[in-house]
Amino acid sequence: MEDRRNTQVMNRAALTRRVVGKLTKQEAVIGGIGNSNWDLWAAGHRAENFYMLGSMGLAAPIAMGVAIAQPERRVFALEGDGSLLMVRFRQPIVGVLLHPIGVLLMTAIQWRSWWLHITVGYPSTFCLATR
Amino acid sequence: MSSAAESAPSWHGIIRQALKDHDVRLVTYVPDNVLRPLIDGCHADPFFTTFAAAREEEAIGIVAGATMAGMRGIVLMQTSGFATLPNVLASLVVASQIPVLMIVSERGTLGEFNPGQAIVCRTMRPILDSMGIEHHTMSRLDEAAFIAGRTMRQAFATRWPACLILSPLLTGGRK
Repeated sequence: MEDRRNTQVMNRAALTRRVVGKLTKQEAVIGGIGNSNWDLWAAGHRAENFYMLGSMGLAAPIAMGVAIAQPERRVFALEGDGSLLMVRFRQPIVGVLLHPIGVLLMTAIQWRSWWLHITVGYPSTFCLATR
Repeated sequence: MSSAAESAPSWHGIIRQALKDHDVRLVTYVPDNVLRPLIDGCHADPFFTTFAAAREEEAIGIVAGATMAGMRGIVLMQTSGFATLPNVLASLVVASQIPVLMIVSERGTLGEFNPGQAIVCRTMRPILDSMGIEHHTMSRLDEAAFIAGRTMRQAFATRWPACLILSPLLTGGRK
């Protein structure tokens, strides 16, 4: 990182606030276990938030279920990188399944140690991986 | 599906009808040979949105999300798959009182050859009981519609998960 002068370290809580601040259409947000949840709460409670406690790894599957039930609503899952690793085959499943529904974009962003993008390419659900 | 197959009562036809009667439209599963006719029947019926998940807990998460968003769903799995679920049942489904339905095809009893399956099978009902999750074992065709329908009705009326266990007595089990 240090040798790349045009990069800067993002702050997870600040980024969560920024994402939540962009929501204007009653988008559903599923907070993943731990800090993803605390940051979501700290960004200001919304009725459309679900704070998932305990079932590590399931924020994105829950978001997928919401997207299936309400294809017109945009759905976001905030997940940690460890949580993403817990449900390893989720991305292909999401890709295959939500293609006809057309609601899912998963982009995983990881920082501090490295950057990682997992982009499936469907236009609505945005999965933010933070650490 | 031919009309002859529709008219002959089958455990999977009865369950599919119960799902329709209770507006359970989302069917997620981890593949299992015993469940195959139920899975195939759901795939063939446009009433249902049916797909496989890689893991049972993932399927539970998807159905939990859909249920909270107004679409009822069910997870189909085998006994050993159910055994992977205690954490997500306790911390997500029971804690948030989400009426997620489950169907488990029972292995580990009535002629099981695999000692591992036999032991896992003994953990299933105590796990369900410990969380207060209503469960019924379906073993007879003549009781199947009543058990399936009433279990679904109660799950949604009381907003509590429920599990139907399909005995080899009903399904014929693993060949």
